[in-house]
This record gives sequence, C-alpha cells and structure tokens, in this order.
Amino acid sequence: MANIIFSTNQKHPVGKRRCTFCTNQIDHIDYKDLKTLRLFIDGFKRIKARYYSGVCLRHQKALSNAIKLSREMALVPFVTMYRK
Amino acid sequence: MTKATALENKAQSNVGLYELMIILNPELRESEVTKKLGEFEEMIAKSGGKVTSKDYWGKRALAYRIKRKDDGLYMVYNAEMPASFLKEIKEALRIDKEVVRSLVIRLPEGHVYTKFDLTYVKEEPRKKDFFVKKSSGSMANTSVKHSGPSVMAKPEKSEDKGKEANAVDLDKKLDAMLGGNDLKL
Repeated sequence: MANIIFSTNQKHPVGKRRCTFCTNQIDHIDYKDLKTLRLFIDGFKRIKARYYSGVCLRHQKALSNAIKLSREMALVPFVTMYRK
Repeated sequence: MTKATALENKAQSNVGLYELMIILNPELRESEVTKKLGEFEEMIAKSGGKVTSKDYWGKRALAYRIKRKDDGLYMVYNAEMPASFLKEIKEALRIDKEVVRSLVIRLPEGHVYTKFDLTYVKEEPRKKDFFVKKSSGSMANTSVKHSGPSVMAKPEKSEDKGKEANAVDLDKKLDAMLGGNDLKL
C-alpha cells in the first residue's frame, strides 16, 4: 500500500469532512499496517475519537477492531510507559 | 467451471481464507523454529488445507512483556483451511509451550497478502536541556516581535544611568544619607 493521504479534518465543518479510508479507497484495514494505524492512535496510545480524526462510522469500527487485534499481538502497546 | 458447480464445491469443502499469526519463543534456535513451523504446516496440509503465503518476520520487540519475554519470533501464514479444522489448530497452538501468542482470523475473499514496512520507530528520549533551549529561543523571538520597550532592554538602560551617576550623584546621596540624623548608629 502506498502512503495514504491523511488530514486531521477537524478544522472543516461536519458536512465537508472526508474519511481518510474513503478517500484512499481502503476496504480492508490491516492490523499489521502500523504506519496507518499510528495516525489514529493518541500520545497515550488510545484510539482517537472520530471527532478528531474525521473517520466515518463504518471505517471507525473496522479501525478500532484492527487496532485491538494489533494490541493483542503486541505490535501496538495498550498503554504508555509500560517499560523503558 | 460454471457458477453452480463452484458453489457446490464450496459448500462441500467449506473452505475459507484464514490468516495465522504465531509468536514463538525468542530463545529457540533456527533449526528448532523450522521444525516447529513445519509441524503446523503439516497439520494444515493433513486437514486438507493449503498454505498460500508465508512471511517470516524474525525477531521483533514486543510492545509489552508477555510471559517474561521482551522479544518474539513472528510468523504469518495465509492459508485456505476447512472451517472444521479451526478448533483443532487453535487448541494445538494454545497447548504448545513454545508459542507465546497466536491469532487466527478470517480474511475477506480474494485477499492478497501485502508486506508492510514494519521498522520499529523508537521515540527519542527527551534531552535534559530540551526545555531550556526552547525557552531561550522563545525569549529571543518575543524581544524581536515586541514593538514597545522589551523586557530585556530595560536593565541595560539602568546600568548606563548608574555609570553616569557614579562620580557625582552617588557621593552626594551617600553624604546625605550619612550626614542625616535618620541613621542612629
């Protein structure tokens, strides 16, 4: 997958927001794709709310599932400052 | 092959595309790893499945500690397997002592395995003078931006005044202070 186009969308009004997965035409969000998942994870490693990322509901649900899978396989941490 | 026959075949075999991710014990030797993975591949083959793609990631740091281990050997399979076989292989993975963690998920039809860039990006630790540098920079910027008298410029002026007053004014002041009757020494 090529690099996706990403914008935080928050400055735009609700009607003009565009989901990043819709614009890049990504149907299946892969739990191994850490580069894209990282864009939707907080500094505290929490999943960003739809309000901030502008992702549509359908993709937000798929995204949260993908992040939870990658957490389970220790690709993404649950919390910060676990070690180090 | 017509559509009807294809559907019939599917119903009979009940085969689906699945992804298997296995994290193995990092202390295993290479020969042991190949042996262990060979066992799982054999299991899939025996059940009537077919491995479509293999991807060995090698040793990789875990995001958090699992079973007192900081690293893991990652292996990803994409395989067509009958649905009845899932229970069996999940149980086998659960029982195995060398398997740190495992995952079996269903993939959408016509899914093609893609390799992702998995370089581990470490967040750089903050330097000790991180805050000091930033604050000094901001001060310099503010002094330039302000149209009015800046905070930094004030003490310089007072110093200049002091130099001028040194010779005459200070002596007068001192005399006044010492000569006055306010000080009761």
